[in-house]
This record gives sequence, C-alpha cells and structure tokens, in this order.
Amino acid sequence: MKVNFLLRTALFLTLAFVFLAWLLNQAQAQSSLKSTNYEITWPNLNMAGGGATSPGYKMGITAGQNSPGLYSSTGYRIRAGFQYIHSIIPFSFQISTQALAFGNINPEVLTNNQSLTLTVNSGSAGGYQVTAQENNPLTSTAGSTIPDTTCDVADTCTQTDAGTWTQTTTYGFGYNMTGTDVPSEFSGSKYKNFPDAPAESPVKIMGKTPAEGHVAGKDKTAIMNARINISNIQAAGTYRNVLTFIAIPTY
Amino acid sequence: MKLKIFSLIISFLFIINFCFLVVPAQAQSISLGIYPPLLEVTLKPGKSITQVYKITNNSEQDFIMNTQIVPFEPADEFGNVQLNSRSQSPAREWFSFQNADLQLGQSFLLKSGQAQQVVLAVKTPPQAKEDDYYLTLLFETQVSDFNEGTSKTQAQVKIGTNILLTVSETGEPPRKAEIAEFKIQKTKFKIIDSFVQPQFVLKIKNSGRSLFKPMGTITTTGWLKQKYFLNLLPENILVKSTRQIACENNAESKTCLLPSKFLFGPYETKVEFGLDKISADYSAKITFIALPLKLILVVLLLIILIMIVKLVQNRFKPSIDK
Repeated sequence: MKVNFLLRTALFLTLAFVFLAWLLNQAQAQSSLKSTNYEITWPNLNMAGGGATSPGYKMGITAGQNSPGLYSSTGYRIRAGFQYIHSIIPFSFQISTQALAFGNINPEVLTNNQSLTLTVNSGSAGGYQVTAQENNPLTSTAGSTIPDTTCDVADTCTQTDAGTWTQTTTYGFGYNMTGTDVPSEFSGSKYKNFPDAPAESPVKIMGKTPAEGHVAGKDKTAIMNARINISNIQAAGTYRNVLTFIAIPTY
Repeated sequence: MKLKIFSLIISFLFIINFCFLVVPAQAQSISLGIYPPLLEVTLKPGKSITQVYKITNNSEQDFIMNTQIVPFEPADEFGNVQLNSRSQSPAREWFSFQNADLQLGQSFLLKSGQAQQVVLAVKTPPQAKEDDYYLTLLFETQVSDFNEGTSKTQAQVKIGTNILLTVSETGEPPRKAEIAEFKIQKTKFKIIDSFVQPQFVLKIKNSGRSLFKPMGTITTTGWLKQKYFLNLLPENILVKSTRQIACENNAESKTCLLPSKFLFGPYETKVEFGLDKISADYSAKITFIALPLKLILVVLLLIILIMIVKLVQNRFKPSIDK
C-alpha cells in the first residue's frame, strides 16, 4: 500500500516536470540588442564614424576594411571604438577632491578618516578599470613616515588582500572602498594599503569587465574612505604623499 | 568715533568673507573624458596612420596635462590591463603627435570645460618585426602644490585609452586558439538543479601570433530537442593570454547564463566559434543533467514526515484502545 503511494507520487511528479520542461523550454535567439546606453548589432563589423586619416586617405572611426586586397594597397586597417557596440556614452572619470586633508591627526583613534568619491561614465562594452597607487608612504618634511597599515593582527591586509581594521593600536595609512563596481574583497568594511610606485604595481579599486559582469552606464559611483592612525610616539610634523588614480576603458 | 565704527564693520565683513566665502582649492574635483576608448590598428611595416583623440576637461578649473605612451599587458583572465612603464617595447618610438603646437610627452594647458584634440600618428619602421604591440595613451594631470601646513594626500588623475597594434605584411597574421576551459560554474558531477540557471565558463587561450575576436555561439540542446543560444561577445584575446569570454545574453548583463528558468533531463551544450569570423573552426561540448534536486529533497522530507506521523499514530492507537 505504502509502496504504491510512493510510486504514484513519483510518477505524478515526473509527469509534472516533463510537462513543465516542455512548456518552458523554447528555443530563443536574438539578433540585436538595445538599451538606453548602446545598440548591439553583432556580428556586423562595418559600422563607420569619423576621425581617422592617413596620408592620401581619410577613413572613419570603426570602419572595417575587411578586404585583403584593400589592405595590400593601403597598408593599414583601423578599428576605433568597439565594433560591435555603438556607444553613446563617452568614457569619463571624476574624483570629488584634489586632496584628502586630514588636518590634525589624533593618536590611537579610528576617526582620522577622509573620503573621496569616484564617478565613472562607461558606455563601452569592454568595461573599465580604475587603479590606484601612492608615490611613497605618508612622509613628513623631516623625513619621518607613517607606514602603510597591515591591519589588525588577527586579520592582516596588504595591497591586494583586504583585512580588518578595528583596533586603535593598529597604526598606519590604509583605505576601504564602497559603492558600484568595487572589488568584493572590501565587503565587511575591510581595508587595504596602497602600493608604492614604482616598485609596486597599481591595484584595481573600481571597475568591471564583461566577464566580471560589467553593465554600461553613467554615474557609476564609489567612495574611497582613507584612514590614518598613529601611535603616541609618532614624530610630529606635516605628512604628505601623492595618490595616483588611473582610469582606463579595457580592451 | 564714526571712523572706528566704520573700521570695525569693514573688519567684520572681511572676516566673514574670509571664513565663509573663500572656497578651499583642494575641494575642487578633477573630471576628465576621453574618446575613442579603444583603437585597433593593423599596419604594414613602413606604413603610417593617424587617429584623432579628444580629451575633455569637465572640471571647474584648468589643468596642465602631460601625455605619454605606456606598454601594457593583460593583468588577468577577465580583460583588465597592467601598465608596464619599464617595458623596453620598441613600439613606444613609433608614436608621435601631429598637432602643430603639441608633441607627445610635452605638457599642455587644458582649460575648464574645454576639449583638446590630439592627432596621434603611428609610423612603423620598414624593419619593424611582425608582431602585436599593446600600448596605452595616457593623459595625466600635474599635481597641484598646496602650501597649507596640514597632513594630506594629494590626488593625481591619469586617463587612458588602449591601442592594439598589429604589424603585419599581409594583414592576415597567423591566428591560433585553444579552448582552455569550458564548464558550468559551481557544478559537480554534471548535475544541476532544475531551478538554477547554469552559467557557462569559457576560457580561450591565444596561442597564435596576433590578437583575435572569437565569434560564435554556445548552443544548448535538451532531450526534447529544444535549443537555447548564447552569442559569444567578440572580445579581443591578446597574444599569449587567456581570456574568459562573456556572452550577449541581454543588453544589461554579459554573463553566459542560460536563458531558461527551468530545465529538466539531460542536456548537451556545445560551443563553436571562429577567429574574427563566424565558423565552427573550434568547438567543445559538455553534457549535464538537470534535476529538481531541492524540490525532491523537500518532497522526500515531507514523505518522511508523513510516514513518521503515520507511524506515531499507529503506535498510539492500541494504547488508546487499551
């Protein structure tokens, strides 16, 4: 009796799933895609714009010269922009301030924070990246330095690995990122320190490529929260350094 | 007395003006734009081309800008770049500006709200090696010198645009690809849940001598012969690098997510693509089974629960009869 009940239930469920599969599984294909930001006309490679020239020739941006015969006569082929996407949003990058002024820094507190807003317009299909790098650790005119933080002992951080910074006895200079297209390592209010030029390469602080889930759009905003914490024996002085942001649309 | 009052009022107004009306210089933003975002050039040795770039200053103040050409290399499998300013690439010498009043490497004033057009010339020497050269044209702000006695981090902005240069005599350099990986993300034993859309991971390695764009489709076929298509996003794969390819499943997201909310039974997924053309020159396939695992688990738990309840009832009945 019980076996029959189980068999009937299993049969019913199987038939229900088969019916659902038949109902929902339908072939789908798209030849073109549109949004407010761009239009995809893949696989057409022969869009044309304007702006590229050569001695004796003038040709358009994204004009594809696909004929081998034409290449042998001109000796060049140009594709500018993304052939398969006609972007209507130019790439632009903005930071909200030219300096993070920390003023008088109090020792052994986690309140010496300054923030900076990064805004990106990225209409291209290929995505973008924003990297950051400092010229050197914060250095006073007398030559003393505030080192880059390595975060709390229990959860340390580097330029590439984020860590926790909740101890007032954790000293140094570091930053946290929040907002759109920010690397996931920063979640949970985690911090990193900046790589120093030229020995250390810049690190990505914002941006996505298509494989990372990039969505073309305007006003992508992220906030960098920079923090300094010093010990009671830190030499007095005015400490400075330069932070370089590099914004590039990817390929 | 009147003079004293007048002097006091003037001093007061001056202090008010100083405290509230003077805008600190460091509060000003830096906003730059650049077009085009990417240039792809195939050039014969000994030939030259020019390309117009437009750099725009959307900030509220003027900036002195510097320019430079820096080689880059792929930073990862997702399409990010790593600038390499210490690279000894000979291609750095092939670039120049054709503006009458501006040379590459020379600083210029970019006024607030204005745009500067630069005409970039690329001229390959006749003996240039047939190869790919990847570079970034960078525009950078000069760091302002604030003389205030406070600890601070000053910001500098660099905005760039990538140049993919292929030097080739024929215009058709040897291209070769390898499928480095083709799988379903986060799946073990080739079994997926019917209600979870499978996401395909396709990594293609460029083992040839020039960049290419893969053009093709991921086709998933079910046991009822139903088909789903995902067009590969034709992204550049640079020489000696591997790139994870995205798909054109919709305008907003480009992950290779199968466009079906429910799957059931065995499926076969095949990827076919060509290099810079739609073809089936390269292909790979995987199979998987979609089962309503979570639902089966819930149903099984319910059945077990019902059976336990029935068992308890059966045991309880005699004791009541007694």
